[in-house]
Amino acid sequence: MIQLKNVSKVFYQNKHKIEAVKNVTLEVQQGEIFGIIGFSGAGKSTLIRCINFLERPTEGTVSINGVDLASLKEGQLRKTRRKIGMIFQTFNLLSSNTVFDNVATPLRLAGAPRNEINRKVGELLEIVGLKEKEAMYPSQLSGGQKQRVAIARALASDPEILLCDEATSALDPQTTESILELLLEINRKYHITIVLITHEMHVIKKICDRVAVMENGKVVEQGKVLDVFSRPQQAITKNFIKTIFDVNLPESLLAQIKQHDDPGQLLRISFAGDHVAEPILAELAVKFALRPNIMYGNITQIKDTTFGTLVIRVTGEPAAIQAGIDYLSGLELQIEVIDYAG
Amino acid sequence: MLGNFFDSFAEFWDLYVQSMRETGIMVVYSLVISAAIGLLLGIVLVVTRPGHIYANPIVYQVMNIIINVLRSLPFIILMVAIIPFTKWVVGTTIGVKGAIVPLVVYTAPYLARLLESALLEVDRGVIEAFQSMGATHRQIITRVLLREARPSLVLGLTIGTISLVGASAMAGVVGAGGLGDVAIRYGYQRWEPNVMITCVLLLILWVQIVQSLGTAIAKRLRKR
Ligand SMILES: Nc1ncnc2c1ncn2[C@@H]1O[C@H](COP(=O)(O)OP(=O)(O)OP(=O)(O)O)[C@@H](O)[C@H]1O
Ligand SMILES: [Mg+2]
Repeated sequence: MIQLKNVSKVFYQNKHKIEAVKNVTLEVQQGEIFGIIGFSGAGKSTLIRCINFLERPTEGTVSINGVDLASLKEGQLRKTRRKIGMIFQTFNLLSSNTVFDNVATPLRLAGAPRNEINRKVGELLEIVGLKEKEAMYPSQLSGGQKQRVAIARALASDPEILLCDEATSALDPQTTESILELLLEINRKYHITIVLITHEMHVIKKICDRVAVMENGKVVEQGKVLDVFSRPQQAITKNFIKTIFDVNLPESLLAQIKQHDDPGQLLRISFAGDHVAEPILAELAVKFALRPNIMYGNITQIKDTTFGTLVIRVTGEPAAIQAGIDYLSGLELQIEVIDYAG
Repeated sequence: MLGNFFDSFAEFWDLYVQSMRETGIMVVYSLVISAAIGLLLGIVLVVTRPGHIYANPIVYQVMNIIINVLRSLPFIILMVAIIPFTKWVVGTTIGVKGAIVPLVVYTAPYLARLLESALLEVDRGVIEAFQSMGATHRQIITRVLLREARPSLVLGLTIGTISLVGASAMAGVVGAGGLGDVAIRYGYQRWEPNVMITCVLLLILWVQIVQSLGTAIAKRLRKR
């Protein structure tokens, strides 16, 4: 659906070269929600703006449905852009237009007939829950309501793709939740592919199917959200994950464990989906005569999947411990032996 | 003293009516022409800046310099300096016609700057949103720039109009008539202090009306 191949973007500011995006290759599938996360200045906005050519890449190609955007003439590019909605952190509504007129904008730009505009705008305002506010001006709305208007406006041209540039970064946590719910609903009901960028791992966790992590203009890690959560490779990814749940054991606890005569092994078990239901601790005790002791546990929801992390200390015969680890690994659980001695 | 003032007011009544009319004609004609030119220049100054929809450093720089040059001349000097140009455009350098040309050359660049800064206030994000919706450059100018900037454009026009009223008083020197002409001929050369005072009051009245009107319209537009 969306294909970025070796995309780079260089800015020149007073003869100073800024490489905002460096050699990014990624593919977004039809119907998925693809998240791009990174710290401020990582190049996220520049990258997402390359997808609809608001920013022309210095190098590399951007293809939508197999069509290279660079090959399009001005008019064709404008037509393609109508199929790519975009929403922004700052909403970017016309302050001199009512809610209704703001949502009608893409239809009017395309010269749609009046009755079609009335019908479509009414429908969209219904979807975003602002039907009764259609005569108001943006200055009379809250941030969340403004973003809803922006979403309705972005949907007015029946886009196949919705680009979200930090759509929730200016909103409070509760409003963020409701906007994310709305995006999820739009993705499911209307099968619109969504690309969103954010600096909050929470947003990725809640609605994204796949994620790319950006650092200094490069994509340093990408994959299914669940995989990235259970097997983060890069330090920056681990840092982002830490912002929503801390898997490191406190130093004081580790010190305590070290003082035991038989400290045993510390295991971190990550599990997703059905395995949550299995009584693994009981199995360890019964089958292998081990004594598992829970040190830390966390269960969370990653989009539709339950994802849990458990840190346990097991004591028993070394051979039995190894057998227990093998058993757990056989269950497709993610097992990691924590080296606490070092 | 006061009775004296009213007597003189009645005596020169026709003169005042006539000069108000002349000032009105000069201001309105010059304003319409200057506003059209000024708005056009203002738009060009905005959209040819680096990174904007018609980015063009050469056009932008040339326009910038021309406007700065024109803006650095006081009206009275400009009026004399462009006499050949005025003659070429309207065939005469005196009367209302002869005054309108220098008034426009004086006011249009000023308005261009005022309207430029009004247009610059428009949020770049909104322009970007329109680009992402596939708007043409023309649609961006008419539906975003001009529309969003309306209150500030009106305030800019108001300031420009007031400066125009002032300049039109000086145009009296070339026989264009108007309040300035009356003030010079009767108030200064014939030493009729009452006429002078009346002219000053009438000019103040003009400025007040223009300013209040402009502020009211801008306020109405901004309420949204
Ligand atoms: N038009 C531009 N001209 C020059 N430099 C730019 C331009 N746009 C972006 N940059 C630079 O490119 C780098 C990446 O910017 P970008 O806005 O893409 O980051 P970001 O990840 O979106 O950050 P944030 O989270 O703060 O929005 C920054 O160093 C920025 O200064
Ligand atoms: Mg950004």
